Amino acid sequence: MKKLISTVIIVFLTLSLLSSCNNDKGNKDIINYDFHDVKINFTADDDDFLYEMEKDRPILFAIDNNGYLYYNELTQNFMKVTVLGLDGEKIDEAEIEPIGVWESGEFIPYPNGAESFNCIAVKDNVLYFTDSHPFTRDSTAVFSYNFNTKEQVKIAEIEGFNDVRKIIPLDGKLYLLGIDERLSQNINPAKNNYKGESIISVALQTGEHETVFDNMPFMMAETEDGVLIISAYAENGGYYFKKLNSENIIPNDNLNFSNSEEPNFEMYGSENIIHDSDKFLVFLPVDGNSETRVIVNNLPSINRKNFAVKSGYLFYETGSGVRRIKLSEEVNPAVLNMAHYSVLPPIIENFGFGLTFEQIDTYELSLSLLSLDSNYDMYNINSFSDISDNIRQKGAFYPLNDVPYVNEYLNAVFPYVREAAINEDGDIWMLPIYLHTNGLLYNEKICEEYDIDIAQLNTSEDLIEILATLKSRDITEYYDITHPQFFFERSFYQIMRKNNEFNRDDFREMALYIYDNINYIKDDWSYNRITSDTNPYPLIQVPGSVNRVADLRGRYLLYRRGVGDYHMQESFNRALEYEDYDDDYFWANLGKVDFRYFENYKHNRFILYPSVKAVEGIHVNDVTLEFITVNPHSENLDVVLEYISALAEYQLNLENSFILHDEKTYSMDRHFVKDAYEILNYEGNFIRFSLDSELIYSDFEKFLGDEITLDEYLNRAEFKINAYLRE
Amino acid sequence: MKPTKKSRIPWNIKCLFCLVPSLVGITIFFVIPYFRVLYYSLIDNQFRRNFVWLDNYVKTIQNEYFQLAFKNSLLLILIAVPALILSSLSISLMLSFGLKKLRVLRTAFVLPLVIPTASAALIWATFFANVDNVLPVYLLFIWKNIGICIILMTAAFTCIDDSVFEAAKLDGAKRFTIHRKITIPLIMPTLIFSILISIVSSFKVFKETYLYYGGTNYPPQYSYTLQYYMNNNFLKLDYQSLAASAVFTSLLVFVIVIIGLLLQRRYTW
Repeated sequence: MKKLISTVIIVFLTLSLLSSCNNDKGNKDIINYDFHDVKINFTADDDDFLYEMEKDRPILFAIDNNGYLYYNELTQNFMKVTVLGLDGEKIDEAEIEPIGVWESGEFIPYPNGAESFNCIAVKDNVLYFTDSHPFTRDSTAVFSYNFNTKEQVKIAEIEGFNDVRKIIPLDGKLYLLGIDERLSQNINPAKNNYKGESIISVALQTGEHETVFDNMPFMMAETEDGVLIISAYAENGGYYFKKLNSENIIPNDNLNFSNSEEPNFEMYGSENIIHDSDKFLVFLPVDGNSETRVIVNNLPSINRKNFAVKSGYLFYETGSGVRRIKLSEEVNPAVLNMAHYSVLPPIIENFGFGLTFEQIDTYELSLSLLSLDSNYDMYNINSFSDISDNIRQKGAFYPLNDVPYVNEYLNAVFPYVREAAINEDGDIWMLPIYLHTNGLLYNEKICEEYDIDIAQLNTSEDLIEILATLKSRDITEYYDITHPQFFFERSFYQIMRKNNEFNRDDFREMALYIYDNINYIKDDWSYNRITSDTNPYPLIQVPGSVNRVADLRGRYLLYRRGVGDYHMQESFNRALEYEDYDDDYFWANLGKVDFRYFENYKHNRFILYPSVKAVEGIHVNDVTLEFITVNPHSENLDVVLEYISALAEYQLNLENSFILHDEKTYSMDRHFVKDAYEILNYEGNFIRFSLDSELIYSDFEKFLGDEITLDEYLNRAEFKINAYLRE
Repeated sequence: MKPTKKSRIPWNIKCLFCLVPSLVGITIFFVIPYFRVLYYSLIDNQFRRNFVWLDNYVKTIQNEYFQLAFKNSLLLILIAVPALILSSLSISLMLSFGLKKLRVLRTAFVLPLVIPTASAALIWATFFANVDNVLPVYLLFIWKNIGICIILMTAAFTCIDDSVFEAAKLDGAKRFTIHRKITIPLIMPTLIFSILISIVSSFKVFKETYLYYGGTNYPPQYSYTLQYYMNNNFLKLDYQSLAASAVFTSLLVFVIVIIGLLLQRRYTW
């Protein structure tokens, strides 16, 4: 019997040992992983052809049913249209006469005249094109050129209709989408981006024309089976699609057209529209089912006006001509799950990938990583959390060294960001997304009024001095939300940057400095303020919640804010909606600045937040980095890496990114943009990987509250920091 | 009367069959995880998984904070466990043989078992607000565990036949001699068992101190025990240090338990 029991136990133990050692899921061979074998969704790998042009680029182009490319080029006296075959060979060309009107016996070419027209389209070897009246621009002329007969015909002149954006020949008619003067008189620009567009049909044989749709259309396209699809603004916001001559309306709120540009789309097959969203081409079913939204992720920027889709091929204009790619369907609707521990999901583009977000705390994050959990594909973390440095040090990431665009991107970011993204073994352990740091914002105009030289503000002593000056002059109409937690934390990382010992003179001085300069109220960090003297009340009063911009009405001189605060953006947007803002308001998120809001802010300047003291002659500035790491045990590792590649490429091409180092990528001519760039490019910057905040605060608060002495505080802190770093 | 048909399945097989659910549970929830921990203690990193054999153990044993934690845990065993056993033994003796009036307080000794740890820690923190040494932690440990020890010992006393005490009294033995020569030896197996479970409990002291020190992962130096060391390494994703120290601790507990069981067998009458 004993033998039997022993045998059973041994079998159990053997099984358990095997199960523990064979769980190698996710332990993939990192070195031999071939990224280029992975294909997702729609790819451009099957065919990639560049039509060579005689000149650098075409003005306009159109594709006929045979896949032939018709394009026109700039010439002095006429419009030259060339026809290229599938292999790029020249098939035909035409020199089209200048188009215009005869006024008093004199020929006056249309504005674009011999150089170009509004739009071109082609069908059955006939080219159709339009242009506007040269003087009044309130009418549009429609022409055709038959490549078989070499005959040019003016089909119609349409009064009160201009700015034609698209023409489609279909069933003996030519459909034009342009601005109807009659409709453009009465529009509400606040409601949507509608400018008065309507769709007109012109009979190709007779030239008769009529309005066929004027219920706020903004674009149209033809399906491969010859149906005209119209997209329009819905009355109550959003968009919808409909087929011409059909009453059936298909709402679609998944479109993501930018308000600042004219939207455009083409049809892929009979049900999917293709439109460009920033630098990416999005495929979206007409019925608005977002589940199958996919993407061509390896395309460069596409000119909104110049792209076409025919027979499964995408044609688009590049700087050197027209590129044709085959869209091969490999629909992979993998949904990537990103864990984040911020209150709000990270603001990250999805590039057509299915992306879900799940908030977890750092304990759950540790547990997820240690248990080799495959539930999360990516982790969105920032350096402010102490787990971020642990992930780097313990190798809890999938290295991104071989992922396309990641290296290029890291070479383009600020050097200290690149340094933080690569660990000691040379592994790229994360993809940086954006930075935030603390700046001191001030209103230059008001400061000039009070003769205050903020530009000379370098240290906290300078700041205290300015506050004292303001107080002595009874200037109270300003705000500062500096509180000791921020002040101490920042000082802590400045001082501890190169030396992890608490019990030393400069840390002792700093602790005493803060002790002497704030009015500490137990358990109430938010109302403890830096003061210029030992008054029992704060020098600076902040009405309402410090997180609500709307509460900061009125003027201010100084305003300290962590510029990556999403709450601020929300509040600010709300304030804008109610138009209760003025020149004194400001909001900036150095990660994703929305410049539409900055037009009104002329007097705001940004400087580095004053530091407690210079370390080795430099006032160091800690910068927080928001980044993404890839879970090495993700079940969708291939797709995740494709996503990371798309994200890196996107980041690489950002303008005004506040993470790219090249100053030329900052095109906005604004004071604060330049100021913010200066802050982020400051030589004393470093990415702060935070320690467990409990190490820093708990005993310091006791010291501020006179519960323990400075020596006791320093001794406790010394033990904690040493244990944290060495245990 | 019809004779009962004798089962052809042997009794031991039946027992084994009954044990299977328990064995499966233990295997899934204890044995497999333990072997996983053992495996992780032998590799460099759970993400790369290269075998480094005993490197993690060497690194862990050489780590000054592991040594500090181990020393503090050992002090808890050497100081608090004997204090706990002596106190519970004394109280049990008094409850069983001494002060009859003390019996009304029996509930008070068992109360710590049912009081939630968070409440107990709060009471302790209030009571010892200005004490800056390890004493409150030791007292909290004793207070939390004294109830179960008293129950075990009191139960053991009731198993001793009264005739043994009567015979000793007839032989002129004094009360102290009776307890020293009869009571203690007779309850020795229970005493050893109480010592063992107290030692095992002492290794698990974390929740109480964690809450007592206000939820910090870094209590004062004198209260930094192995549980803190392991928990902090978990939070820092250092599974190897965590696994090595866990295996080390488990081996230590295993040795102590084996010694205890051997002693217990020796004193079993």
